[in-house]
Amino acid sequence: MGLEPFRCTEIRSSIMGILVFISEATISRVIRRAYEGKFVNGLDNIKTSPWNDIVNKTMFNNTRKGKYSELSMVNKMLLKIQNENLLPKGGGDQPSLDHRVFLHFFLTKQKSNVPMYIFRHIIKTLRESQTIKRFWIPYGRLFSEILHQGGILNALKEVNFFTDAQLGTETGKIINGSTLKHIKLIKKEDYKVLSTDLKESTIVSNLMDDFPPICKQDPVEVQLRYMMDHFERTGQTIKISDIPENMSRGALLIAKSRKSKKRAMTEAEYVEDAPEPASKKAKKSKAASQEKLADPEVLSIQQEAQELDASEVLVKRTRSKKPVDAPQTSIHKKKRKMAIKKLRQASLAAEEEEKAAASLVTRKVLKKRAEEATLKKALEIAAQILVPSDVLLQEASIKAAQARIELTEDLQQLVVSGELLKDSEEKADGSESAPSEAAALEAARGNFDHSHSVIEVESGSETSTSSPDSSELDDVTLSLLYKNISPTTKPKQKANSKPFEPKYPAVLKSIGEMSQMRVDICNKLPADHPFQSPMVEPLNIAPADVEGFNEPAGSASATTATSSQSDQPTLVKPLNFT
Amino acid sequence: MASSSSIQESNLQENVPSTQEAPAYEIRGRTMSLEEWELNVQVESPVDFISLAHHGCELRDIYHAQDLNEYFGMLNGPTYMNLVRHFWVRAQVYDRKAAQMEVDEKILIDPSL
Repeated sequence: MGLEPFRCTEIRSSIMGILVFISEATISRVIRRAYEGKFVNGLDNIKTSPWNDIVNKTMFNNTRKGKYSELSMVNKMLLKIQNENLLPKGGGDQPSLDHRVFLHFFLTKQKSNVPMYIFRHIIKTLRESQTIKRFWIPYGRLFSEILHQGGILNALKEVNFFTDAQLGTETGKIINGSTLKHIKLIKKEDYKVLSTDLKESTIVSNLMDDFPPICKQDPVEVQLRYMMDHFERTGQTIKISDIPENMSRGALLIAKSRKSKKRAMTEAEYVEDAPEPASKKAKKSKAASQEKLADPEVLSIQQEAQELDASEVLVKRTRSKKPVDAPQTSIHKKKRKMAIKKLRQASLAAEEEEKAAASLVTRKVLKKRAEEATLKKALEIAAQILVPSDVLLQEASIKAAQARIELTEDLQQLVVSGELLKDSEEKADGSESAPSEAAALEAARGNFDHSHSVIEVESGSETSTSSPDSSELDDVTLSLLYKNISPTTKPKQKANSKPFEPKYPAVLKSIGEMSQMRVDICNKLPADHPFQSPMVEPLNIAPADVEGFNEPAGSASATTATSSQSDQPTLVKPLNFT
Repeated sequence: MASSSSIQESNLQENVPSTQEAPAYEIRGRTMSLEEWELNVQVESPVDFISLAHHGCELRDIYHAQDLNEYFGMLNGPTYMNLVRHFWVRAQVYDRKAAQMEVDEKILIDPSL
């Protein structure tokens, strides 16, 4: 008849079209326990059942049925573990006779058929879901393990479609001494945290086994360096979209207790299923990374790395240390022209620079507070990276931070005294720990007539005493931000005041922050301050840039031309998307 | 254990081909009117027997007698809530009764069988 012979009772379902059959044997295999032992079922709480006496005898050492409070501690815990793990009840405290018989087997150490119990229990609850609409699934972990062992996760991995967030990955809450304390089986003062205490599994789902030890929380430079290094070593590229948003090797979500599960999940939550960001800062970085992910033509970072060329990035970064003389070599410009083809790529790169600048600013501010704090921050950043790169990066970032501090201080003095050229050479020789600084200073000896980039402007924050609170900036519109700036920015203001739908809100947001920082800095400085001019200058060149962007978007030559100027203030970048 | 494991393996071997012989992809209909996001998945709690024993609650021998150590070891791992929900709303109990119904249906369609 074309039908397979009936073998055994099965639960049949499918995940994304892949069939999944679960039988008693499956469960027995997954929990690695023989399918054998006693099984008693369907006792239906009949008072006259002979089991009552037997069970009461084991549980309470009495023929009469006792109360929960009369149970010994071990029995209470056994019951709890049974209710959580072996025969999850999902509510209600009174154990049924079936549950009690099951417990009886455990207490008397008679082998019971646990796989069969579990399987029957699944069928029972499945039927409850189907018939009486019970909103409850037991054995979440067991099912996950079955699906995992059945190769579902490997299949999903092949299509490279799922992340932990989408899978809603969680781990269970651990029952330990603390649980005893909570249900008042031991006194609070008797509870002790042990070094052997079990920790929630930090196993990241197997989907992510190849993930690099970097995440989007890391500074952009770190990400970039890692990817380049990885490419050199293995010849494999890491795509920007493959970088986890944070260290998913960290703790997974912990399942809420059954009590707190009363509130049903909304559809939106299910569809989104992304945990609320803990802080505004996290939100910001997340938004930025989401923006990246959202981009359909996500730029491969390797491409970007090739185009950007580490020395360029470093030059750019170090340029920020010289508020007045921060030139760009013509070679550098040429390089860029060749490297950056698309405007989008350029804007992405600019965003990266911006982020790098932002992290730089943060570091500077920390330096202002105390050198120790800077080191701490560096250590923190380094700590985010997993072991292999850990040691290297820690050292590197500390060194870099220290070198930067020294150089910045010296350079500030030098700028005033106008002896930059001569002394920078010495400086370059002296700073072995930061070759990037030296390279930058060499670059400084190139041409001096080039316009200043937005990153230089950020370097103005060295002179400010406090960092602008970035969390306040998110709400400020761009047009508001530009009001205080010189009238030369008018064309841009106009453009910003046009109603438009920002395609890349994260870019706009970060740009808003950048410009707010600038405004703050401008306000704090006296009008005759030597650092005032470089801050205004980049804005002066903005109109030309705007014109460049207003050219027909489809024209490839126009985009190439404008992208070659991508080192101009990133402020104007969003106009591209209007 | 040894004798039973051979039974398991034979069962396993039977199960695996059955999933492969069946059409590789099959979208199963939902078997319940509940929406996926309405369902609560109860995640099993891993048990830290060492901590419990330290606090005067020794359970290891009890579960050892039931040969459940592997099971409790397995509990401390990731649970894919959304996959489980997806699975659950499409799950169907296929027992002797369902098999008989399947046979009856075939006969109804083609009485020559």
